[in-house]
Amino acid sequence: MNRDLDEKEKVRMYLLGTLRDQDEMRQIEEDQLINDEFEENLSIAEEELIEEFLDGELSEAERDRFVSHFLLTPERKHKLSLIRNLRKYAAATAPETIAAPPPQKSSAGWLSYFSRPVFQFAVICLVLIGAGYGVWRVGFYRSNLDDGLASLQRAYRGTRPIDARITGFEYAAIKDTTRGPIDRQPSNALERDLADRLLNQAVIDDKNAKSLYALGKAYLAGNEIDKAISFFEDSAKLNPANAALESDLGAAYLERGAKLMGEGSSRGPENLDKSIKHLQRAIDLDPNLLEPRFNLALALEAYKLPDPAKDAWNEYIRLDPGSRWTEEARNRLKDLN
Amino acid sequence: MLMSWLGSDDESAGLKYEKIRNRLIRIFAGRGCHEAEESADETINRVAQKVADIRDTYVGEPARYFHGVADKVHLEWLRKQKQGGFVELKETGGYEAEEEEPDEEYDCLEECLSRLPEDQRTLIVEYYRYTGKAKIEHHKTLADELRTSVNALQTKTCRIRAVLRQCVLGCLAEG
Repeated sequence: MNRDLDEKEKVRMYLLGTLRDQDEMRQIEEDQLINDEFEENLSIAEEELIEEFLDGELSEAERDRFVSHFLLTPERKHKLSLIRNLRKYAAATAPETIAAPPPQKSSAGWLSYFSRPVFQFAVICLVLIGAGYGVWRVGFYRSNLDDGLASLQRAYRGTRPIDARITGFEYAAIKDTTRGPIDRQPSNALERDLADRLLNQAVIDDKNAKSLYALGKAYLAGNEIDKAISFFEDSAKLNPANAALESDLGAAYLERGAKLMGEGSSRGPENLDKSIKHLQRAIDLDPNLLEPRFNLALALEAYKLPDPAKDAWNEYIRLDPGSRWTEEARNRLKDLN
Repeated sequence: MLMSWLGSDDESAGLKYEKIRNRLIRIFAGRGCHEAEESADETINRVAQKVADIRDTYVGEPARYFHGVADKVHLEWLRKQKQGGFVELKETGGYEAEEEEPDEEYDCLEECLSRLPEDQRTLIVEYYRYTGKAKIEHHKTLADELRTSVNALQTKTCRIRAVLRQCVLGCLAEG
C-alpha cells in the first residue's frame, strides 16, 4: 500500500506531538479507533520513528520530543527495547558469508575530489539548502510561542475571558449577567489545551521575556490572575519597555483590584493604583496602543471615579471611533452619564 | 451490557474491547497525558455506565462514542494538572532512552525467536541486519526476493514484531 508523503509527515508530527491542526489530530485519533488498516500503518510509523532515533537521524528538538512525548506509554518503550534487542541479535548472529553492501570507493586521490563535478554539485546544493533554510526560518518558521499564542486567541474567539482587554484578543461582548454568572470558559477547549502545552514548552525550551509574557497571557485569559502577574513581572524584569506587557499587567491588576473592591477589601485600591500605573506606562511607551486606554477607563470606573472615567472613555472613543470596542465604550459612558 | 454493545458474541466483544482500550491509551498518550492507561479505563467506565441509555438510539460505530467521552476525560485531567500549577513537561517523560535493556529481555527475545516459524524468524532477523543507508538498500533487496513491495515488507515485519512483543512480555511476566 502506498502512503502519501503528506500523510506520512502528519502522522510523524502527531507521534512527536508537534501536529498543530486540531482537526487533523482528531481525524488521526478517529482513524486510529475505527480503522484497523490505519492503526497498523500507525504502528509501522512508530517503529520507523524508533529506528530513526536509534540511527541518530532525529534532530535535537525531535530527540527531546521523542523522549518526552513519544515514549509516554509502556507499549512504545517495549517497542524501543524490542527493536534494540532485535538489532543486537541480528548483529550477533550475522553470518560471515553475508557481507554488507560494499561502500562506494574511488581510486582518485583525495585532492581530486574538489574538482569533481559531483563535489561541486554538492557544494551548490549545500549553499541552496542553507539559503532555503534562511528563508524558511525568517519567513515560515513558527515556534511553539507563535503557535501557542495563535491557539490561545482562537480558544477565546467569541468569549470574553475577563472584562479588561487582553492585547491581541478580538472583541467579544460580556454576556448578559441577569441570567446568572458570566461564562468565561474558552469557546474551544482543545485550542486552550494546545495553547497551554505549547506555551509551557516554550518557557521550558527558552525562558526569556517573550515566553514568560506569553505564558502570563494564558494565565490571564484563564482568570488565574496571581500567576499571570507573577509571569508578567518576571518578563518585565527582562524587558522593561514593552507597552503590550505593561498593558496586560495593568489588566491583571485591574481584574484583581475590581474583584477586591467588590468584596470590600482594603487591598482593592492598592491593586487599582498598580493597574493605573502600568496602564499609564503602556500609554507612554506606545500612545497608539488602544488596549491600555480602554482598560484605564475601566480601572477608573472600578475605582469609583466617574469624572476621570468619563474623560478616559471620551478619549478612547476619539482615538478609536468605529470598532465594536467603541460601541461598548459608548454604552459605558452612557451608563456613567 | 457494554460487551453486548461491542459485539454479538463474547469473543468478538472481548477483542473489540481490548482494541478500543489499547487505542484509547495511545490517543491519550498522543495528547501528552502521562496517565494514559488510567484515563482510558475511566473513559471505558463512563461509557459502560451510559450504554443502557444510549444503545437503542445510538447510530454508528461505538468507538466514536468512546472518542467523545475521552475528550471530556482528557479535559478533566488537564484541569486537575493545572490545579497543580505550571507543568514541567520534561518531568513526565522520565525515561532514559539511552539505557541498555536488561539481559533477561534479550534472553526472552532469543526464546521467542526460536518459537517463530523458520521463514518468519529468518525474515525478521534479516530485516535488522543493517542500519542506516545500508538498511534501506537491504530492505529493497529483501522485498524483491519476496516479490513484494517495501511497504508490504514493513507490514509483514510489523506483524511479526507484534507477535514477538507479546511473547517477550509473557516471558518476562513468567520471570
